[in-house]
Amino acid sequence: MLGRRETGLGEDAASGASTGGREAAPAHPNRLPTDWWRRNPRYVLYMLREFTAVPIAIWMVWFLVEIGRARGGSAGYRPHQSLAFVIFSVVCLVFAVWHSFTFLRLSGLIVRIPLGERTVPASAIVAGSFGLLIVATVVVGGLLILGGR
Amino acid sequence: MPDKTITLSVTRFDPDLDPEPRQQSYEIPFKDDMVVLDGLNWIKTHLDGSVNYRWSCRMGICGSCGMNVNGTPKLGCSAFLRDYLPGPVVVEPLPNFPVVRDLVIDMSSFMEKLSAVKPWIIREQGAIGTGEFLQTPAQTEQYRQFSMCINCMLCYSACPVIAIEPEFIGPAAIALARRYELDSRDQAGDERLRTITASDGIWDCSFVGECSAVCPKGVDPARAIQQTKFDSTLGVLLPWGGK
Amino acid sequence: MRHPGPNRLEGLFWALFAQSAVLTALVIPAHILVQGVLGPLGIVPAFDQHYSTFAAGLGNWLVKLYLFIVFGATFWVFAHRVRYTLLEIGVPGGKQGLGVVTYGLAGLATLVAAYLLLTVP
Ligand code: SF4
Ligand code: FES
Repeated sequence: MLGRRETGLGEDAASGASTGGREAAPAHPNRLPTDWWRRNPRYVLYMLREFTAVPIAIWMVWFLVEIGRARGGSAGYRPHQSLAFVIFSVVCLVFAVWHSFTFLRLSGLIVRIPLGERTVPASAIVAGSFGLLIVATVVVGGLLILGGR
Repeated sequence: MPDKTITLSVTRFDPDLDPEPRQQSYEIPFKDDMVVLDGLNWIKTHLDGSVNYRWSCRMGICGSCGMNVNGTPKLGCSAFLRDYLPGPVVVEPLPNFPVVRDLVIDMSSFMEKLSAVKPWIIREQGAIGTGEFLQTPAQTEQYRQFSMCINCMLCYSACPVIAIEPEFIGPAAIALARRYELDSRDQAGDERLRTITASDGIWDCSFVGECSAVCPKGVDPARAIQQTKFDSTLGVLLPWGGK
Repeated sequence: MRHPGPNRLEGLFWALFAQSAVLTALVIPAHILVQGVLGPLGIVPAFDQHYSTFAAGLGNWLVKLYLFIVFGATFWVFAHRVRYTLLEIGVPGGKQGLGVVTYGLAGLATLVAAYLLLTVP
């Protein structure tokens, strides 16, 4: 092998060389910079996952505005119907689904349900969570639709 | 020089002379089976004997050779140069640790965190040396993955929380706490749990997950942390509580 | 030295976040899909598209309770995630300071939701 002679300093020699018996000089802190999240795609996806909370919360504020309008009685009530609201909702929906997908997958991976000496396999928990998402969507969506008839 | 070469840009820092770390480039002969550590050894032997770095086993076991390779924490002995063609390959000291010299970092913060979780088997009675303590393969499987840690500290370098809150006890220490908690022979009770659920413990983690992505041994510290969050809050908040 | 002993407050904040995030993951896509897209486009009826059906729905105490929990959950998830992310990208204020601001904001928004739900006919 190229250059594989025992000339590289091992751990002890290296740290000994660095302080060499005198007052240790100040080391350089070398923290990850605050723009760490642009360093690789995994970090970016993490940021995207956390960001989903923002459009979801904003959409819920619009829902609150609608409830506020309903306090004025039937005369003044205007539901959200504009095209802009639909486009805004589509964008929020994408983020909401991304939250559902990432959170249910990750929580399925970390939840540990003992089953005798073993634990329930993560894949089963994740599959169960996604099943629950479908059921919840059908039930909640169904009620919201039925309530409008 | 052989026909094929590759350039390594290595961080140089002498705290007595340099105000800031700087990069120095070395052109070295390239062979297909060379890892970054081979490159550094070639530089040390043939070009510049003053380059400092740690290594020992050359086979991903000792955990000494952690370094940032093109911005990602890697074991120098496991990162093949061929994966970084055509180069240059930027080799830097692991972030989130003070740089003592060149690629050598000060790991004392990690040592404190590691010993805080008492990473050994604790017995109330019958010390582990006094006899056989049987364990089924299924019981071993509960913690086996977490026991593969080689203390290389790559996960600490990948963790943005450590950069902001240096006291955060961090991925490997929590994974090792989990490793002993899940061991059927361990009788420490909630001793380690009290340490890792304290301030500067698991609650600092926001599940970025990069620790698990960079771990060279397939340990999943992010999972250990979230599992501990889940288990330690179960008893308080869910009707079927307890562990 | 490390101070041993659980930080129960942070544990509570996290547990609230985790449960809220599960609820958000399960029910929010349906709300946005029906109330934000299908309803306004007239593809399906939706309970908030007409005053009569909206008022009837909001008049039900179970619906009020459910919506209160959903509002609280989404705002808490927002607060928790924003708190950590801001901290991690170097926004000053510290973990505690950012916590007061974000959780405070979520608490306030949840109170507004409670007030509106209680006073809607
Ligand atoms: S958990 Fe993995 S990355 Fe972290 S110190 Fe252990 S082996 Fe290294
Ligand atoms: S030299 Fe031992 S892990 Fe790389």
